[in-house]
Amino acid sequence: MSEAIWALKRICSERDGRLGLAFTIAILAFALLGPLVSPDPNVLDIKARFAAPGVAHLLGTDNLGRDLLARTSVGTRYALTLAVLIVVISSVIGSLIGIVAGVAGGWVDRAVTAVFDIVNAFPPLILAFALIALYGKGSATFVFLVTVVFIPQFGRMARARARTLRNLSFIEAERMLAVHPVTIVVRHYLPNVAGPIIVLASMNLPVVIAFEASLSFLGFGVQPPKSSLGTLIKDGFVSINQSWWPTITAALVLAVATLGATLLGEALRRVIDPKSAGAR
Amino acid sequence: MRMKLDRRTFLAGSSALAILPYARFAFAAARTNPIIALDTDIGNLDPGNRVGTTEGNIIRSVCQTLVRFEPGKLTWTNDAAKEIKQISDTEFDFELNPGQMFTGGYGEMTADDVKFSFDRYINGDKNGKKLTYADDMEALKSVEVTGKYTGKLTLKHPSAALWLIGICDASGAILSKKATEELGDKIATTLIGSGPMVLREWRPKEQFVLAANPDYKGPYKAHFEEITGKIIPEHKTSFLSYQAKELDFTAFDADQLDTAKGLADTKVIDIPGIDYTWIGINVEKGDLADLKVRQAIRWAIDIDAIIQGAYSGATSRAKTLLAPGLLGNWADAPLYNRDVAKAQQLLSEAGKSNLTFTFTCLNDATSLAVAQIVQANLAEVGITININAMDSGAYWALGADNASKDLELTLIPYTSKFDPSFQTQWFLASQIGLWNWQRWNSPEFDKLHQEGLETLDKAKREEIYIKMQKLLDESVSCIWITHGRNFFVDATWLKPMFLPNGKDWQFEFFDKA
Amino acid sequence: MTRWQRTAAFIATRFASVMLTIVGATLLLFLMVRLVPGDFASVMLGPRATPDLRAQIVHDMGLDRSLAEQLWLFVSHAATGNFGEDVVSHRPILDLVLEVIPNTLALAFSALALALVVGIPIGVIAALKPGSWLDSGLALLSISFITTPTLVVSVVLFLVFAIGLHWLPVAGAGNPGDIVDRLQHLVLPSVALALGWVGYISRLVRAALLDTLAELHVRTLRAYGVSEYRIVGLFALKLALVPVVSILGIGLGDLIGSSVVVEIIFARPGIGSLIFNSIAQRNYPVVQACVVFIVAFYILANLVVDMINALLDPRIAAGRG
Repeated sequence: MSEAIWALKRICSERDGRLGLAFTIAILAFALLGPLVSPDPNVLDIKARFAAPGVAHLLGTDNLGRDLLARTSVGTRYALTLAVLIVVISSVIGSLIGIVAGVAGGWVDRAVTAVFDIVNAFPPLILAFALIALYGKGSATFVFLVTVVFIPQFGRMARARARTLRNLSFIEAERMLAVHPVTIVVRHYLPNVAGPIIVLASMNLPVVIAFEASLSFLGFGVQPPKSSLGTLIKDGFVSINQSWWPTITAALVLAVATLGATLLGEALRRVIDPKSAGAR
Repeated sequence: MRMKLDRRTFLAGSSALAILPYARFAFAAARTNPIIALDTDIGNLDPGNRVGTTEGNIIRSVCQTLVRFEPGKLTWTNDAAKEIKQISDTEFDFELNPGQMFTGGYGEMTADDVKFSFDRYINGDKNGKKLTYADDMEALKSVEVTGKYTGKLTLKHPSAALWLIGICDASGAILSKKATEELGDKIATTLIGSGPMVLREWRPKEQFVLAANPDYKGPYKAHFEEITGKIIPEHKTSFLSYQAKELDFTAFDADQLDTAKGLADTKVIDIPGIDYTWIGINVEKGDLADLKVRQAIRWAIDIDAIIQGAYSGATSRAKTLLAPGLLGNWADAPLYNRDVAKAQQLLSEAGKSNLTFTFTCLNDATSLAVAQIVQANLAEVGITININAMDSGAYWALGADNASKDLELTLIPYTSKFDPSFQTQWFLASQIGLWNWQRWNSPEFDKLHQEGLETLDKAKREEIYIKMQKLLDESVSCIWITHGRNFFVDATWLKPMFLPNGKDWQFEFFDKA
Repeated sequence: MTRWQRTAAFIATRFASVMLTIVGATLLLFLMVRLVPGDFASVMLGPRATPDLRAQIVHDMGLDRSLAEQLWLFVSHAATGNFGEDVVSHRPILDLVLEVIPNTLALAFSALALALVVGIPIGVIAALKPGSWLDSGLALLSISFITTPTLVVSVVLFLVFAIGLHWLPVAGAGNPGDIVDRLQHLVLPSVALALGWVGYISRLVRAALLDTLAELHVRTLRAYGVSEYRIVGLFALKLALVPVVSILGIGLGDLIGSSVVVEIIFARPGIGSLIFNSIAQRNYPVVQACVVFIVAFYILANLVVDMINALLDPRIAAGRG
């Protein structure tokens, strides 16, 4: 806990860190508190379609007269939840595969690396596209398929880390002493891999947020009646002639969310891994 | 906000400014030949294997048919034919005009070409494969050549539909036998005709150019030297392009009507549709098999709110299958205005509560809006609706392999043709597992459909089709929403022309106002 | 080995591994499609699955043969560009893809060029005065360029410049043959696509430039009284561009990937919108062909970049080859 406080202090000690934290808190507050100050996001009011922002609806209404503040807020929450899920799952699975490859070495390592290379040969958006087209939609499927796209990044990082650890003398010594490999992994590899993986995960969070939004915008992500920032931008874009509010609001929230997450992620990296802070 | 300002300043400074001097693009004032928008690209130019209306429209203007639809009407006069003589209900003699030349040096049209073109619908293409539109000529039994320019059509049974949806339409296009045989597979991308226009250029996904055919011998000379069709998939985008004066004509969606009315130098064209969109109820599925449940749903759904919310109030409500203007329109069909109390009473009579159904629809904005209104409406009578929105590929795949058996409520948009039999065929028992997603099976309806096909007398047909719609109404398997409405914006100097469905455009009759 | 021999050996190894990756990616694509549950021919054909067509596809794709044979058929067909006939339009799929590819390439390359032309100067300016308010301002600008999703940039540009100000055209790729018109149609999409890369490249240039400037020989130059501008312009920038070049391969791939969004918003024909529409129609053979093209292009772009890099900086070939 004290480490977390220390990290927070460090993050707050620089401008980008403060900005990132502020944006992130603002977005989280918006996602969590929005529904408290606005009507039910699913109540229709056909007579009040495309209402401009006003007292009844702080951010106006959409094509069915639903409150946009509530909808954007709920959509933000859903988008963030998905992104966090995807990042967490892919970083955990990626780390495990990477560590196994790094520890095992030999043909296992070569095979895993080859698969990672091959997956990386696909532009991510196109790969996700093809997977979703083939294997269907739905939130769970969506999370699973996008996870597949992001696993190799984490896997590569974990593998590289595991390779360096493998040659360290104290680990070799334990291996000689016939300590169970699982014990070694848990005792030494996991803690050592965790740092860079957390950094990579936090750097990837905004990427995944934008990724999900693009997929949802194109109709391959979140399916109605659920909505995320991507679907909100799309819905607004469809009726751009009546009202440009919905699109711009959702787009702005999306931009702030990704900017905030990036600034925070970079600050976190500088705290956890100061060596790499210079170059990208 | 600061960030945004930065980006704009940056943009203005680095790239946008550099472009500005050239930013005077394509202005309408300078145009004498129209540029119009189409939402679908050319897929296949073989008349019998065409994919959609875009090719149909091009084919009708590039090829000759024996008889051609008059401007904006469903009546026809001779085009390639000099004379058509009716021998009996099932026999017709035709004589072609001499000297009608196919473009590309493929020579003069003869009765052989007519036989060749029509036989493809009977026998299939060069590999014997059935043409996609073979059913348009279902009633045609044979074509016989009796002279260089003369021949005889024999029908299987009397048919009003053959002329309306077969011979007059793109399926009736007369191809050059020589060209088709020489071109082989290229017939999909090359259209050789003898009609008022030629397809001068086609850049897939971008545009095509139709030009007047100087060698056309028939009575319907094209008015424009050139018509450029831009392929713009979304009406929203083409409407914006129109506003930016990049286009002279485009279809647009109902919800932009107010914007359209406010545009300068613009005519708004509004053509009531003949298509039909409805909520189909699967009469075999679980609690929906109970007539009272279906009635309750019909009373609970607020069609007027759907028209307002999903169609911006810019379309009129449908009461029945066949649209006003079509033969067999049931003008006195009952209107079911929302009555929550009645719906609740029916549900309690049926002894059903806590019902949950899936509402399947396409994933376009209008369908989703309809779905969400239905969801809200039915929630008020205690029925939970889960929306299942599908992309078009998956959705239309429900029309095969009995995939429709698990549907419950389905929003279905169908397009119509001018003969009522084309519409009623999808509700036949033989279509269960294919396109009859209501899975309603009525031998009486099927019998009437066959009668309607073989009857020529208009009044009798009228009676038959109204009777069929009454049966549909009693089945409570369909909740009619709208026949659609086609909206176009059109630069005042241009006068477009369509058949009465608003979907089939007659490029050859487009003219200066 | 001489420098040239080393470079040649490096390129040869890279080329071999690239070819393996392409084969691997094709294999993965093959498996991806093949592992979809259900009768494969029906999956491929979707709504169009008539018995005739199904029989045709079974024959064309060799579904009646062994899996190994099928795989060989797929890879060899893909290698020769024979993707079969599109079941919707009855035209060769290769034609469909080749028709739209030039548009996407024009978009990706102009975006890349724009990113370089704008990104490098920003990076250099920032590196000249590290730590200044200008530097930190540019840093924030760059990072917001990077993070703002292409989707957001596209929508905003579309709203402001096409709809609001009417400065630039709304839709399409412009009139064929009319260069000015084509370029005008290219402006907004390529700016939308380039913006993130402007940020990347400027940050990359800044970091690399600072590293180089800190190196010993630059200090020596400085000691000899060579002016800072000449150091940057003549020596440092060339070295600083190495990491920029090496990321261009990834950049092109990323740009082609993101082009889907941009092509949809600006209604541009291209491989992105072709994939999008084919997916919506469940036209998998076309999707498959598009993906093969994109992957091959992506990998080859990376290879070319590696080669340029090896020529530019011999240390790479020595170190990695």
